[in-house]
Amino acid sequence: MNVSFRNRTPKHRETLWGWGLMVPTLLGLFFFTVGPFLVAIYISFTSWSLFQGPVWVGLANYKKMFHDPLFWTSWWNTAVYTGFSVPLSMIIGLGIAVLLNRKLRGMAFFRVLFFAPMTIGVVASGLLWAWMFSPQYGLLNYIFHFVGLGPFRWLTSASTCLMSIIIVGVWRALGFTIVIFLAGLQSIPEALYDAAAVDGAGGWRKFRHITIPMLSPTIFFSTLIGVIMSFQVFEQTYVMTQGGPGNSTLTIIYFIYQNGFSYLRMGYASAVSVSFLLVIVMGTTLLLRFQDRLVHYEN
Amino acid sequence: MTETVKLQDIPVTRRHALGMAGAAGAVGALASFGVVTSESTASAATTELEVWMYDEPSRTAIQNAQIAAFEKANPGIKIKLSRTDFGTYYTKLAAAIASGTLPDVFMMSGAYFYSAVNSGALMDITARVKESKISMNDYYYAPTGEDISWQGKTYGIPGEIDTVALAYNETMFKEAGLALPTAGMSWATLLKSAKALTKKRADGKQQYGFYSRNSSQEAWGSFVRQNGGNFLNSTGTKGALHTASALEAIQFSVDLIHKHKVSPSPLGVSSLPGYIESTGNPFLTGLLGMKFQGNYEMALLSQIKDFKWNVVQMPRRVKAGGIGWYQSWVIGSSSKNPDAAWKLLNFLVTEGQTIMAETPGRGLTPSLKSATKNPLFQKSTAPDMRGWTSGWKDHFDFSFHPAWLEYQGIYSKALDPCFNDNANVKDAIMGATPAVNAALANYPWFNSSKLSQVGIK
Amino acid sequence: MRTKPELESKKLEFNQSGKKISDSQARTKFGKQLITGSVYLLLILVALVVIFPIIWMVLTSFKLEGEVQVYPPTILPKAWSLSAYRNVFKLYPFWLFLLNSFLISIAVTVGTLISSSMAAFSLVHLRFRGREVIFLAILGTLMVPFAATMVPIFIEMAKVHWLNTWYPLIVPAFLGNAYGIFLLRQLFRGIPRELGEAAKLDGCGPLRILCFIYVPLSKSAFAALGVVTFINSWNNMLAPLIFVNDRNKMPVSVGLAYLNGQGSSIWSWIMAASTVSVVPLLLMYAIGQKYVVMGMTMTERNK
Repeated sequence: MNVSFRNRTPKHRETLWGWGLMVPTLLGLFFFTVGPFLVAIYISFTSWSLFQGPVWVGLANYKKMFHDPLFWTSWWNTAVYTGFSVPLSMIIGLGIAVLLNRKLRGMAFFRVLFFAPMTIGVVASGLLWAWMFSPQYGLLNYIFHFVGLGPFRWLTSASTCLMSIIIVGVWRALGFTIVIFLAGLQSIPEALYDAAAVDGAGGWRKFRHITIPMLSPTIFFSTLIGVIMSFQVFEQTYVMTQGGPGNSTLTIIYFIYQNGFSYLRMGYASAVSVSFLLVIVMGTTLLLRFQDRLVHYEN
Repeated sequence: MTETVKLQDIPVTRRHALGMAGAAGAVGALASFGVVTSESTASAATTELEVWMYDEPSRTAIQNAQIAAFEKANPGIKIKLSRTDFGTYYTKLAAAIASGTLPDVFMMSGAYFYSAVNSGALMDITARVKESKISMNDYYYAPTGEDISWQGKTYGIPGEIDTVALAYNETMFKEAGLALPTAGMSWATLLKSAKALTKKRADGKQQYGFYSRNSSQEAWGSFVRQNGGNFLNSTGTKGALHTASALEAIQFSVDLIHKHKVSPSPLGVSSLPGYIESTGNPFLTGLLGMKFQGNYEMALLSQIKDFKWNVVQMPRRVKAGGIGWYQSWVIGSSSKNPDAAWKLLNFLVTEGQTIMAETPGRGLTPSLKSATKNPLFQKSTAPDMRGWTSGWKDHFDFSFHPAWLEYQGIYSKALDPCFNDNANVKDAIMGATPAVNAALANYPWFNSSKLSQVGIK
Repeated sequence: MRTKPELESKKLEFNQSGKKISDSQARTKFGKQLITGSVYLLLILVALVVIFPIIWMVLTSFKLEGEVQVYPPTILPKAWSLSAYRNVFKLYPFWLFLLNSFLISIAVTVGTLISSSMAAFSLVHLRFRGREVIFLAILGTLMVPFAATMVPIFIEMAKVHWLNTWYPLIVPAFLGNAYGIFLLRQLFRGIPRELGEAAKLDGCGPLRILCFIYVPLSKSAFAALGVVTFINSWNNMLAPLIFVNDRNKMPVSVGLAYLNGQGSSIWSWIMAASTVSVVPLLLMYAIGQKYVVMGMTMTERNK
């Protein structure tokens, strides 16, 4: 080993070390990400209940998927969840970040407070919000009662359940968007604002023509992450509503879990997983394709 | 100039060595924790049995008592118990089957029994049962052999039963001066009592006579059975809720809410004062006169302190029954210790049942008839357990199927608008039947004729 | 067109407060105070909305159950009581759950730091063919949700008899973590290449460069990744739920989920269990919030 190694050129050695240090990651990719996913693709062409061995069924699972109303319901719920929680958390987050960006005392304290919900897990936040949402004894209906609204049914009614989950999602993600936007805001050079002030621009115009374009990389990044994470929402629904009532909070990942783990339809669940990944990849590619048009980068 | 690079060439200071050793040690210790806690501690002289049971607080004391008693009586056998949360139990069992790591003795439910036995996961115990003192006549079991037999052979023995009885608020009945419900009473009497009890109380709270809801297990499912209908046809290959008797029963259940108004609607239940949503059981509020109540919620019911309550056998139309099923004990076909496993199974369905009957905190009903007559069992509950155990022949009947979870879900979801908003029951069921049949057709190997009458000794 | 010096002086005049102000500036000063006041008010309101649920959870955990199921709800407990804690610990072995969470999370954190730093270093400092491709592949895995691969992984684990152990939870951490690699790579890139080159000339191998140059210079990055990995591992519910059976091997995230489905929801107990599971995380956050934020958002505080 000694001799042959010494005879290798430095470049060779660097390549060996490069790959060598990557070995754990490569193993991980093989056994825990890429490998299983390739297996999932194979399983999606079979019918497998674990009790019996896998049986090849070709495209049957995919055909079934397209005709399954619950499949489309899950996508719809996921889309609604994403469509509300991502913009909401970004708009509110941006608003708060703008407020926090003033050089006032105590801003750091507020930052700490706002970020705290991100450290609490999904289960704990799900439970505590389920308690707040309690139609009878919960705090929320009590507060709304004071303003003359409600009582709302929150998690117990199909019409309000998804909204309730969205509220929890926004609550948790708020800290993330605030911090991201704050960092983005702080990287905008003062000079730009000053120049605009010279030209007589007021607060709103400054916001529209300086802040937003300069923030567009951050907005883009935040949207991309937000969408990818929101599409994968599952644990909230598992803990708070179990997909109900009446499938109103059945999200696509929950649908996969339900079919795979509860109904033991591994083949079908894998087919849905494959379609999920395709959608994410397509969506991400699309967003990245439009990045140049949407995002203003400083050269 | 090229240089050899060997890890030992890197000078390792003492501090670094300590640090790395400490980290490696810690990590190794942590990682092996998983191994240690799952490794067997059996020595060569003892046999070890891997046993899987459900994980529920109401079972823990009973399970512990059973295992302790068995190990005491059989010093050569050690039990390695694995408790799994019911929600993931069967998935994990299926994975164990797929990977060939079946436990020795485990609990089995009718919903998965067919898939399990069809995949060869269960051991044939016909001969052992024949040789033993066990007679199926001593147990509550389904005459069709559900959960215990398949194609003429025996694979399991009932461990505990889950059935439904008519629970009633005795205090409420007495206050209203009404006669208490009796076993097998008619639907007409049920309706009459319910109407008499539905009123606004002196304290302003609304009281209801009955609790009807979209539940295939308790409410409409039981009504269907009482009316002589069933979920599936006689061969178990097609849905049968569209038959006249079934439709009539479901309609009756819906009418109790929307026509006779003796039951709160699903939406109205959540505003019942004192109702705790996740219990799913408004009987505890004391504002319901009657309810079809499963014995598997005993732990919940034992929390009732504000009023007296009891259970009686279900009402009768054609049958005085409801829905019933049981969990059976089975042996894994790949068990390396079949004799020891059989010893444990035998124990669990004989002395183990007595332990179940006598252990406090029980939320379980033994499947052994004699155990349910145990005076401790009879005495330790307010309600008369006979409400659950009598008429058992009318409870158990074939409704399980490999696609049980799915087809039940399809029917239930279809009935949601009926219970919520009084939609037409017939339309809902007819609309759901194709999907149900499609779900059932996923298992072409299943046919109820493969179940057999269990040999009665 | 105003010249720059004029601009500067104008800025100075605005930034001063309370010194030599004219009438119009006095009016503006009041306006400024009004704005400042309303900003604070708004922030306080939103902060309350954000933080109050957590406070509410803790307060509920100290109430007697009889006081919890009442309307109108009370804010502070009439009688502070630990009975909820006592009861929930009696029902489930939460001490054990906490210990399990701790052990699992420590192991996962150690593994993630080691494997991610190795991979990140390899991607940043060493040059080899296929480097970019590997990095893209790693990034791509961030888009593959666990739900997509959990079925095959589950079967994989069943076949190697790793079910009902902690191996499926801990081993993947030692085999690379896409987020960790991404984070560390970002921060490793900030380290001047010359340092590594100089070390190489001195005869250091890549491992020494990693351990003695890159690691010491990235202490805050490691702290950030470490803290975030610990928190995420602590909060992970799905993986332990799927891979572990026995109750006494479960971490606290699953223990909490047990309470949810128990049929009798005694809210003070549930809140007590939630508080117990959350306190270690909040403590961690209180002590090292800079790192938590950095780790989760890859940003650093400027002021």
